[in-house]
Amino acid sequence: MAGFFYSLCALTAALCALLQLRAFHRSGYRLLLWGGVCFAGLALNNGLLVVDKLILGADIDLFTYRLVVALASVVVLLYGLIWDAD
Amino acid sequence: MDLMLLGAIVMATLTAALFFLRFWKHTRDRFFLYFAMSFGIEGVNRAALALTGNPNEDRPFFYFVRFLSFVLIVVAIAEKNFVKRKHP
Amino acid sequence: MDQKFIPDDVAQFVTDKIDSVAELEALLLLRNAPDREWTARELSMRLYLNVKDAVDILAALSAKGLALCKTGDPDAYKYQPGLSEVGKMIDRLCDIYAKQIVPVTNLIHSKSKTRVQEFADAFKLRKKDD
Repeated sequence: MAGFFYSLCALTAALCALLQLRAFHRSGYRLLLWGGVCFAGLALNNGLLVVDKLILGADIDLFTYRLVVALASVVVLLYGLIWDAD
Repeated sequence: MDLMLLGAIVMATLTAALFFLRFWKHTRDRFFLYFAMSFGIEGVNRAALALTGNPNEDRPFFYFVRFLSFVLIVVAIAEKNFVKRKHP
Repeated sequence: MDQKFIPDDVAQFVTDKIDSVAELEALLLLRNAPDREWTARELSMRLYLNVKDAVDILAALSAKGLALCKTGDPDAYKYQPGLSEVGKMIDRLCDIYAKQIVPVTNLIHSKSKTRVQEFADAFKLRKKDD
């Protein structure tokens, strides 16, 4: 159940990343780059969550790594919103 | 360490939500309102996760709210693509 | 609603090329005396801008291919739209601006918000805009 929903979240985030980076490639508007990177990171974050819960055993826990990825993602977006939102 | 990371994520996510709220106010594009709500509830979700003694994302509450935050994004995208905008 | 008064191609030109009302005024001023060269100081006095803004505006017009810069001390700028279609477009814009000043200025002012609009527009799945 959890894996299913988090997988959907990861896919949605990946789609967002794709759309943002495609638009960045076309227009060069930097906020799109940061947004794209953020969503790619969130896709990774949710993907790792699925891997962590379903594939890896109880002896490996990616929790801290996942938090670092999530934090880095949102910080990148925040940086873009502050400096490049125009 | 984990709690600090979670706290930072909560702050960053909620701040991003505030930015989206501002963009909604300036552009009147509902898209940004959806994003503000999405990031807002995800920020609260992470805070709730941090406040449980034993953070466990398997709990239905957490994955439902996260899923809901992404549903809001999907709704925003859908509305942008399939609804005819009234041109100002 | 305003854009009904402005033809789509002119509106597109304004959105793409004109960043401020002052810039539009400067462009039309240059156009009215096409043989004359303007310095930033002359422009600033004529349009009641400060000199720094006038410098930026003339440089921007030159960068967009709407004015020709003659370097010197000081630099002087002359109306030079480059392609004839651009010249015709500016002629139409001048005409429309004279008759519908409010819709044109509204269009320019709404433009300053649209950069962040690109963030939202990135999520349009089809490439053509509606």
